[in-house]
Amino acid sequence: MLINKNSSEPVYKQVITQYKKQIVTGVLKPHDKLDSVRKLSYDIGINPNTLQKSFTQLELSGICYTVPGKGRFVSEDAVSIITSNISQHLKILDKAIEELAMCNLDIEEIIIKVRESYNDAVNRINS
Amino acid sequence: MIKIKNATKTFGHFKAIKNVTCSINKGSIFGIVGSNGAGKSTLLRLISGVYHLDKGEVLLDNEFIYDNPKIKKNIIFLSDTPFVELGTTAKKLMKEYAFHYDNFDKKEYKELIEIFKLDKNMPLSSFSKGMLRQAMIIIALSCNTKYIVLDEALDGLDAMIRGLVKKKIYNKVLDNNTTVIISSHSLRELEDFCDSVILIHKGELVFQQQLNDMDSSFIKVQVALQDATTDCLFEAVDVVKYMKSGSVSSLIVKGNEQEIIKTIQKFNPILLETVPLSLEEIFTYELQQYGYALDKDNESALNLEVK
Repeated sequence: MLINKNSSEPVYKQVITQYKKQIVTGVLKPHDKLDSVRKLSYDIGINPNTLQKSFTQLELSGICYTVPGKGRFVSEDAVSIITSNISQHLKILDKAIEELAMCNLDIEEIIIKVRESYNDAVNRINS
Repeated sequence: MIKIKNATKTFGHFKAIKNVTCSINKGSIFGIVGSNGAGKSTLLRLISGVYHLDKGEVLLDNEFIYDNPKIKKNIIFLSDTPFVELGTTAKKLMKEYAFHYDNFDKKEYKELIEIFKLDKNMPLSSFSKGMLRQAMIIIALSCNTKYIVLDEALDGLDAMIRGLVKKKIYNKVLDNNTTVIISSHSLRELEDFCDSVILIHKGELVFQQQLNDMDSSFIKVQVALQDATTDCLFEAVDVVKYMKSGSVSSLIVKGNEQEIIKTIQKFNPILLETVPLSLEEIFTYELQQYGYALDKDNESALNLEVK
């Protein structure tokens, strides 16, 4: 788990994002055990109360579940929960492209804009 | 839990702490930041029962702490300038603390002395400043009290030792629900380390911020709406500061970043960008509100380090 303590992105959010990435890419599979707060706190040197908040958030979203006495595990439908936003955003993108096409904007220009926005977003997430 | 209500402490004519009210939750790591002379040490000493209040009250688990040996057993205060008697060694000091603190863990003390590579039989007066701090921190951790109060204890330690001390503290918080109260000059340090932080300026509590709380964070928003009027935004989100430059508005908004983005998107903005505020930015803004105008040429007027 790579946490950038100097990032403008709060640590608890980075932890959530990292777990979501690991789940979406299949590094963590449904019913895999997540690290304990204690281990993670020690490994990356982060306030355990902060980590607790990250885990609580993941649990509230249904991405993981707790088995008392055993630990936290990735939910069966974690991937679909994490990616459910995607179809929503694609619909918005669809509409925006429709509007731009109606304004006679060239497809090449739209693609340039998409690349630009994507790179900016990635830079922001990783800074 | 520690409850501080309207705490005031005066030295002669000097009001070191004026009417401070706040609470410190059990099992939290609570940070106190402020410039030199702001009153941090005084507040810590009031919390630890070292100083007597002039007005107000400090309650530890619902009991007054001053002159209360029963409650004092639950708290250890580590000063920023520890005083050691001539000839005292770490070992002698350990025995003294072990005598006063019921839960002193000698095994833990031995382990820590080894990890930090200190000589427990060498006179503490011959230790460097940093080593002395380390020795005192080891003793404080070994006391295993419910409350640990650290007055700038981490400032001046090298990065590796600091990291190690923090991890030890995290373990105590996890295992024993220990409450840690720490003061520092460095906002950056406290931002990573603490659950909540208060800013003390000229003896007063200027601002308190719960860190890592998604719903009470401060977000910088740059937004441009289609019809260029932004009045509608003020009703939709909690705007704390507002600046307009042409058709682009810069706002500081308080709340949950995702919720704020969702709300503003309903207005179909042409431009919408958000970035969380750093603690330093929040505090700078709050101090400005407080009337402490920062000289633009002198950004370190706060005497706060941001490493």
